[in-house]
Amino acid sequence: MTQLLVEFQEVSKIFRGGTEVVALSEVSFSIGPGERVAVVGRSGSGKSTLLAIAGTLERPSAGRVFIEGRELGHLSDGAISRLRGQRIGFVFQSFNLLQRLTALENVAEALMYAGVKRDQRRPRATALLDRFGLGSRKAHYPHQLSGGEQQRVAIARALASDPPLLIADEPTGDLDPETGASVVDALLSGGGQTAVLVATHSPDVAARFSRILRMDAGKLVSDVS
Amino acid sequence: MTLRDLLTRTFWALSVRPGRAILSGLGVAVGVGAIVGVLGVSATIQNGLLGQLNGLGDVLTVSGTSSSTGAASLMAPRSVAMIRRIPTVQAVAGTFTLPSSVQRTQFVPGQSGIPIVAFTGPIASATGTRVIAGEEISSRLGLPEAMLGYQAAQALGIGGAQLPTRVWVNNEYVTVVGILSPTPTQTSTEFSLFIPEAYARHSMGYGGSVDNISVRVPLSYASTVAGLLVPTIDPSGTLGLQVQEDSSVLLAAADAATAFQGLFLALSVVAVLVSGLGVMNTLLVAVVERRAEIGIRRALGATRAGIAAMFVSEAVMVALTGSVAGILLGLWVTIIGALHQRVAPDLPVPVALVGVGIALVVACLASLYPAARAASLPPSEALRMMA
Repeated sequence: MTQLLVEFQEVSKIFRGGTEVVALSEVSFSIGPGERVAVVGRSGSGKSTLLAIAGTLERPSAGRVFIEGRELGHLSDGAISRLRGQRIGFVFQSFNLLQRLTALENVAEALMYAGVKRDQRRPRATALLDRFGLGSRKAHYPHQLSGGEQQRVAIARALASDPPLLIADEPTGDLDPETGASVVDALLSGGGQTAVLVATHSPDVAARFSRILRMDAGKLVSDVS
Repeated sequence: MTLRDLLTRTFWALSVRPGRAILSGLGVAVGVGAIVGVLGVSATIQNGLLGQLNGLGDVLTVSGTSSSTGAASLMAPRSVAMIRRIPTVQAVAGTFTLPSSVQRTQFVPGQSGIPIVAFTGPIASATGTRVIAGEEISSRLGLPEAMLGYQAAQALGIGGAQLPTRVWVNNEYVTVVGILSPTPTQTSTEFSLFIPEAYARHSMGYGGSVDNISVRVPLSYASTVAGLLVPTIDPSGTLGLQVQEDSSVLLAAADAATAFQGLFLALSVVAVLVSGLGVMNTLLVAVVERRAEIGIRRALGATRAGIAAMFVSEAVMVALTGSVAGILLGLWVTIIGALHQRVAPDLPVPVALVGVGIALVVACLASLYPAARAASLPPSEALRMMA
């Protein structure tokens, strides 16, 4: 049996502070290597929280989460940081590029955290940007790029370490449908080895994924392949 | 993330807001500059005063006042020879102040007030002076020749160009052949006419006792020798003799000149501590401003320690450049002070290094809290700020 990439066992997330908000309620599912999964549901249904926990950015309040068979609760900050740097790539709705760095430097920065040696970072970042059609945009700062271009830089950055898991939270939320389609192309360009976990409102985007998890009020209500 | 990666990112971060970095660095510079300046100027003043003794050694002076008569105590002629036998003593001379004083010529009525002093031994080297004009004479000389102290020569209007010249001493002309240099502490040596003991004995009825003995010793043995002088000359203690050390006179002068050093130093250290608060404040603002960046870096794989290191490194960089600027400032103040005092500046290099150390420690401590706050930001929360 091949090892599971992500496994949730009855994971709950409760945000405390004033009133309690149950963002996730006893969610269990797993993702295998190379799977392409879209999480859909209304705003506030818990999609983003699910992605944040799967991506180790957030810790669950209850339940157990495994990444590549290792339980997150047992990992040190250093080990979790290495997971983020080498095994997981993130793409966010609002692009989240480092504003003071050029497109090339943004990608190179991810390579630094992935442990790539200094003299290899720029060539590899250049190759990545070329692959996403951004060869002429390398020296541009984020504010000089269009939304679609920024998001493709972000995807290049997320795929820089060739991670087995790519997590994208509403990656097309701020883009028009046509640009959004090209961004989804980019997301799925990682080939068969990279599993993609995306949260989206868009039926068009969801239709490009082979498996759909539907969330409602913090619960996983359907899992259709 | 290597150290070089860290330093590069620190430079980026500082260059984004150069004004802020310069201002917090300036705070450190003022504090360190004050420490270096205060210590440098004090050391220069002390050095200038003590430097007058360095080449010559310390000069000890033995004299006393009789408790019964109130006159100067007389020490036996052999006292000079006894002191000469004390180890480490470099030169000894005894003097006796004769009752009459010098006149420029026999035609000027009245007395000049410059005493006539009979001397035994090498008077110039024993009093820490040297002959600045003319030549030195021996105390064994039986001829009517004399040397003048520096101030006495000026009072009589006798310079090097006039030598040799005659002065009227006790109904006789005596030829002045040499003038002595000023003394570090302006002792009575400067105000006297010195005539050889041998001449004083046969022409002025001098008996050979001395009322003042000057002893020159290396600075490091001064206090030891000072303790031996009175027991050597006057074991019974009946003469009421006292020893004065030139070095302690000079040290007292130096202490007076640097009396507020401790206070100023304390204020300078407070200034460095306050600059640490400035650094802390700047970093706390930066942590808030850079929440999004912190979140992105955490998502890209930065560890908590890596995030904290970015902020500590910024503080260290600011403190390092600030304290180097502060050292230059302090050295500049010291050199200005030294030029003003006409002495060689004593540049407090070890102190400067200590100043850098203090600034670095303060900056590290000041950065700990902001760095801890940055490191403990949950990545998901930091990223939410972007929306």
